[in-house]
Amino acid sequence: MESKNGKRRVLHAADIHLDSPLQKLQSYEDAPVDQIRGASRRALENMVELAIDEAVDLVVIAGDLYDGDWRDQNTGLFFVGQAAKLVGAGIPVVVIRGNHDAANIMTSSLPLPKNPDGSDIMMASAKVDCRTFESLGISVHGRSFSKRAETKDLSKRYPKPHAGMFNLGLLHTSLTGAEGHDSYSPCTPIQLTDKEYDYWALGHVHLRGSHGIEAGAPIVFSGNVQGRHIRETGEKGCIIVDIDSRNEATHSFHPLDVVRWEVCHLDARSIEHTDEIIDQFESWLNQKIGEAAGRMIVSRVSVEGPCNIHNALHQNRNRIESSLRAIAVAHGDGKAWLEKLRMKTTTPNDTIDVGDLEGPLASVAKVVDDIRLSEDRADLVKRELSSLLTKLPLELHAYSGAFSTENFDQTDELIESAAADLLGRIQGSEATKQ
Amino acid sequence: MKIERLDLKAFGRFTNNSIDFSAARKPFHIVYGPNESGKSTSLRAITSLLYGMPPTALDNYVHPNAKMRVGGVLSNGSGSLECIRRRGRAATLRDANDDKPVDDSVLEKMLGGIDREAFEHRFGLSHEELVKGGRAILEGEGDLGEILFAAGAGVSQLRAVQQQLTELGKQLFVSGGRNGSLNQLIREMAAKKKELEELKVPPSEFDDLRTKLKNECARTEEMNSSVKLAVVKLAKLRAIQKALPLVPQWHALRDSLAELADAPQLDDAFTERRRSYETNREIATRQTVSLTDRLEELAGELRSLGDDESIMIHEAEIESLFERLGARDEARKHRGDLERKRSNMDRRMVEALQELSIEIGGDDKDEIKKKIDKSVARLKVVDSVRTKVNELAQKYAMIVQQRDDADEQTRTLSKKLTETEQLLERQSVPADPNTISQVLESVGSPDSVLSDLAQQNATITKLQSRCTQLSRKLDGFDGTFAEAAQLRLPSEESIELAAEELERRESVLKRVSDQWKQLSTRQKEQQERLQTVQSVVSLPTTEQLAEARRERDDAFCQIIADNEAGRLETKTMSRLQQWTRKADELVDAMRLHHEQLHQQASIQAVLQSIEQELVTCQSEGETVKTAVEEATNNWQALWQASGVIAPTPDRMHRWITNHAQLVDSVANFDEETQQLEQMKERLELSSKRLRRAIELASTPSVVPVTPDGETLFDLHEPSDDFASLYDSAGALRSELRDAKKRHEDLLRKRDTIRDELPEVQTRLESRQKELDQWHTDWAEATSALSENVDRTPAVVVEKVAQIDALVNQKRERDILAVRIRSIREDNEAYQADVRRLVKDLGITLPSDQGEVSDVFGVVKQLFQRMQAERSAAKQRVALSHQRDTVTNQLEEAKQNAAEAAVTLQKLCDEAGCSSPEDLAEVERRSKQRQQFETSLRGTEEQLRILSGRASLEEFAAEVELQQSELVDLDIETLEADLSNTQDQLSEAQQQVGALRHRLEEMDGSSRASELSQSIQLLAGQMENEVEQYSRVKIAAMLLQQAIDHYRQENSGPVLRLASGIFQRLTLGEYESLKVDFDARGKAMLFGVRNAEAEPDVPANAMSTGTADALYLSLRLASIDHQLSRGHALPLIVDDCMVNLDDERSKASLVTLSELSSRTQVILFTHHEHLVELATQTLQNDAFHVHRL
Repeated sequence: MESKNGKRRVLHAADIHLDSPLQKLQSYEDAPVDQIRGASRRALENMVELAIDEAVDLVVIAGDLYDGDWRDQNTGLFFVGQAAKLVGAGIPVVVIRGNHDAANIMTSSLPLPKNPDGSDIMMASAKVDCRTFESLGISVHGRSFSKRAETKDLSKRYPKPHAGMFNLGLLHTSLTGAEGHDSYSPCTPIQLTDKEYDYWALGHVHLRGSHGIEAGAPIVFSGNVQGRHIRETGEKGCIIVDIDSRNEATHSFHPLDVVRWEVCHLDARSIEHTDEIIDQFESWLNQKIGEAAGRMIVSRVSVEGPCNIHNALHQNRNRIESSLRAIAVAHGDGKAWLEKLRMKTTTPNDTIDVGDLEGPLASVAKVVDDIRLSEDRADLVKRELSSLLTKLPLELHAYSGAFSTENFDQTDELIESAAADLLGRIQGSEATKQ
Repeated sequence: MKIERLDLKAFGRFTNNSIDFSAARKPFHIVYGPNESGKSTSLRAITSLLYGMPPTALDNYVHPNAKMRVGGVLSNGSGSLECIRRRGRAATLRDANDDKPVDDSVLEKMLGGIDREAFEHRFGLSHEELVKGGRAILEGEGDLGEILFAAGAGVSQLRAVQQQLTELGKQLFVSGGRNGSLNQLIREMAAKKKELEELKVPPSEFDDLRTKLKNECARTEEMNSSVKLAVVKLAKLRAIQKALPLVPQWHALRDSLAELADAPQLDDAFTERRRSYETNREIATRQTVSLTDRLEELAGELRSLGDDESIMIHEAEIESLFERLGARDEARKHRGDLERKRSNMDRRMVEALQELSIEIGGDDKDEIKKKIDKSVARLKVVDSVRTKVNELAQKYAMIVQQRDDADEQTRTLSKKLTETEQLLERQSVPADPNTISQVLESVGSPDSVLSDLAQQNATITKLQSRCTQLSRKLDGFDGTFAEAAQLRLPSEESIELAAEELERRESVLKRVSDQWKQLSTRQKEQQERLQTVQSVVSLPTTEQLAEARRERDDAFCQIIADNEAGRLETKTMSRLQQWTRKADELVDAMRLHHEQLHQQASIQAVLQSIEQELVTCQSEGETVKTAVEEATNNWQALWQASGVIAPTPDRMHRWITNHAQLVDSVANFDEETQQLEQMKERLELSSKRLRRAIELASTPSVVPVTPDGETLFDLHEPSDDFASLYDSAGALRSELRDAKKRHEDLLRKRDTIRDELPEVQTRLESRQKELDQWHTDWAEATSALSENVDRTPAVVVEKVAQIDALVNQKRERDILAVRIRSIREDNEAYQADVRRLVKDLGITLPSDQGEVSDVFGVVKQLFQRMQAERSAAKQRVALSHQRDTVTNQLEEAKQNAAEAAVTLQKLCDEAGCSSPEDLAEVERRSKQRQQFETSLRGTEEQLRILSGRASLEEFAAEVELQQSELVDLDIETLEADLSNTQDQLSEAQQQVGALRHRLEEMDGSSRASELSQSIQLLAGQMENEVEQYSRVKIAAMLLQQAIDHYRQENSGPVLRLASGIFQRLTLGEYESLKVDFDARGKAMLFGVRNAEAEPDVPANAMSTGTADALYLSLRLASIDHQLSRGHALPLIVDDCMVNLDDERSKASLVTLSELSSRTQVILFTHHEHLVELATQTLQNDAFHVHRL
């Protein structure tokens, strides 16, 4: 064991998804496009810098270096460059392949450097592999995915801990399952605890979290290092595990992301005037910018609920969105991006209010109410839009797929919005309401 | 709902205006207001009242935002609401007094949930809407549903909404098209994806490259080594090829050298040295000969130069004479000039003397000269005289001027004096203004005197009125104020006593009557109390109680008996219970009313005592009344003595005070009147004094006369009135003052002139004396001049100047004479010197005529001779020097020749030969030997290079074995092979380089990743536009469905109603409206013509006017139809009949009037004409006109 009174530090990261783009950001005038370029690369660079600055003794990465369908050797070479930097600084690196890496042939052809002790960076997939760093007193047990869909519990074959060493398990898994993630190498925290290791460094689930059971070893998902879409909000980064001379571990989170995704939820019930949306967003954004410590904030504004000015909101959505963008541009100083304005509002009593008159607007109300309640409204909408939906590229298949008879969310939101827009236009309310 | 009244409290240009809509039975109101009268303001006021004022600044140009108010009374079937609307965001609806907010829901209920937009669209009908609606019908396809929907919603621009939606959809996406922004995005995305695939580096390619590079590197290495081998072999063959001609040459050289083995080794400079020595010897020999010849030549030249020493003895003298020669020649010529000048001057002097009247004659120059000298000496003016003359001449003009000035002055003054004295004689002495002035001052200004008088009058009038006033205040007295002042009043003490007595008695009377009042009040109170106590329910008596107790006891005994008898009945039991209760109740009642009984008794006792007191009080009162009457009589009697009817003492106190004031005022009045009289007297006296003073001053003896001879006071007739008198006196005083001042001025002037005159006369005399003196001086000064000369100062001065010029000329001429003489003397000295020298040299002068120029030739000859002798001497020195040099050179040459011969002999010894002639041959052989040795060394050197590591002999032996032709062939073959191999190598190396480059290019670049990011940016944009497109598309779908729905539900009734209105509005041109279906089964709207033969007209093919009418018909029909089923709000019509002719307007008015039976209709117009039409068309009680 080296000096430092037997204290050691291990950096645990996972789900780098190098060169995975930030998804579905619409560019607009003055949007800080340059700032989002290569966000995942910058995040990885941040990790390397952090490892060197914090003088960690070992870096472990629990899978998913790249997206499975991404085949550009340059991406791999960039990782090689960063790994070389770590090795050059005397820090050994241990990596397992996740489901994405297993599917990607790039991983096998990478000219990865060797660790300072001569060992390989990448762990084997044929069997459970082990790296023992005698000088650190750390043994890392891990196994790479050999195929994309690894449905067996790989942890079962992990060996008994090495006596006198700090035993770290490196595993790519969904544990008992996580929303939005495929179920791979399923296992339970109890099973992992029973292995009597000192720390489980997990990868695959992008949401950071500790799953260790009481009195057991920490079981930690470090989450991904850079959020890639609006569903991956908040801080993203890695875990630094501090190990004392008695092999007791404590761990702390360190942000690495360069672009942070945040959703600004606004309750439509409290909104009486469109300007209030702008005002609330402005103060929310100022707070977030303050918290982000110089990182870029990509924000979505989501207005939800029943609303007194429902029609006006929908009719003016373009103007509101422009104003929000202007706020992002003006206040962000190149560090804020408005991803989208989402409006899921309804009329206050969920019906179209046209007074008690019989008249054309009553017909509109009737038609809208009928369609709202109809069982086949998703199909109706799909039919109406079919000429476009069939032309959409892969990136937008999710949109066309969301007009579903199982989940009416998107369909209803669209009908609500279209009805509001229509009523606004018929009543020419643009001038009077605002 | 109905608007009963609209209050324009503070809105737009209105302040506290009201329009009352409540009166008419049929609620059809025409509000007429010309342009700028605030018609549109009133319109806005209605919506503002119902829905609040819009936040944008309108109608606030008179009243500030905070003060803006519009109010009114609204009613519906169940009640009415009076309220006021102010501007603002919240709680803008307030009660009628504008002090409390009214809950919005009250009004909302009356509005029946119809919001602002719905109200404006459905219950607002404007000219603009009508025009737009008509146009939309014409632009549309006659689709019934669209037309009905538009008219029903009051959305004239429904078509525009449809077009907007279609247009927006098309901008975003066109199925099968290219120009929609989504179409473009889809294409752009596909292109970028393709580009991305090209930009990506697949991992397999990376592996391939690395393998290829490895293979290529191995191949290159192999080729490299075979090239090296070939190169070595080729080099060897090329060496042999070169050595083949060299080897035989090498052998030959070695043989030649062996033959020349005995030749000496002479150094390289040997020949050079030899040639140098031989040349030296020859040069020395030749020099010896030529120098000897030169020596002889020099000796001959020396001899040829002669010797003239005698001349050099007088060298200095000759030189001096020669130098002076020039000057002498010059002086000779100059003398001639001077002599001519001198005779000229003599001539001019003779002329000048002639001008001065002195004649000089004769021919002899000297004689003339002497005469001139003599005349000039006589003429010469002494300096002092000249100065005197000049001075006098200068002073002359001044002295004459001064004398003339003095003369002039004297004469002027004398004249003035005479004039003044004459004037004074004519004038008399004016009167003294002081007398009148004193009078004026003592009487004072009429302004103050008269104003004092007026003021006094005013004071008296004021006092008089005050007295009158005060006398009027004296009640009970008739008479003038003077009389009142004279009144004698009773003494103060007696008044006081009488008044006190009266007062005391009156107060006793008051106390008694008060007491009586109190007693009666108390009596009344007690009686009321007694009544109250007695009014309670009749009280139980003790008898009643005893009766009840007895009955109870009986019943109790009965029960005991029955019980003993064993026939106890319930009836008996209940009787006992009944009587027991009755007795208890009576006891309770008695206890309850015990207090009441007690009260009754005590009240009665009090009442009795009050009655007694009342009797006492009454008798006392009567006594006191009598006493008061007595005192009153005493009081009045006291005053009657003074003739005054006195009321109460209180009022008499004031009376006395007034009387005292009156007495004071009357005294004042008398005093002031007296003062006025005095003032009048004083004024009279002043007038008298003034009149006298004026009369005195105007006495003819003292009236002054103006310079024009007029009397001053002709106009000042004294008048009687004081002010005029005062003014006249004042005027007279100032005139007298003026006259006196003028007289005094004249006297002063005369005295001044008299003072000045003697002084001026004295000055004239002294000036005359000065002039006389000058004449004496002048005569004396000019006495020197001849008598016949004009002696005026100017002439004399000029003559003096002429004499001065003559004297100067003479002085110049004398100087000239001196110079001529000195030149002559110098020439004579020069001639003497020359003659002496000539004599010394023994030469004779050619001719001597005494002129200096005679000796010039001799001097020049001598000078030339001396020059020649000087140059010969110089030449002799130079030749002697040359001769010495040549002698030395000859010696040196002889020496050199000897030395050269010795050296050559030494070279022979060195070369091993006997005579210098053999030296050349020895040298040739030695040189040949050296050449062969050099060649051999060169050849061996080349061979050694070619042989490589082998020795020369071995290599030579090897070369001798080779055949030249074969070697060439071998080389050719080998070279071809090598070139081939090298080409291949270069190619392989390039291949390696290319592979390396491609691998280096894979440097982890982020280009593909960035492109992938930009694809995501496109995806984001696309998603946004897809959502927009979806919204627009679904909105269009909803609209279409709503239109269809409305048509299905409403076309029947609405068309029926509209047909009637349309017929009326088209004045019967159209009979009705009908629906027909086109080829696609779409419902279309047609107008049916009245004439049978005429075809039906589709809605979109009607004339503009008809289309307007159609829209209006449908609009009114829709309103009518909707009213039948929903909530009614007032219909607000804004001048929508502008474009209709009179007949159609009338028809519209009838329709609106009919509609007003269903809901209130308010028509705003700025066409007075419309009001007239309504009067013509409608019944009087069918509408109501309001004017703004």
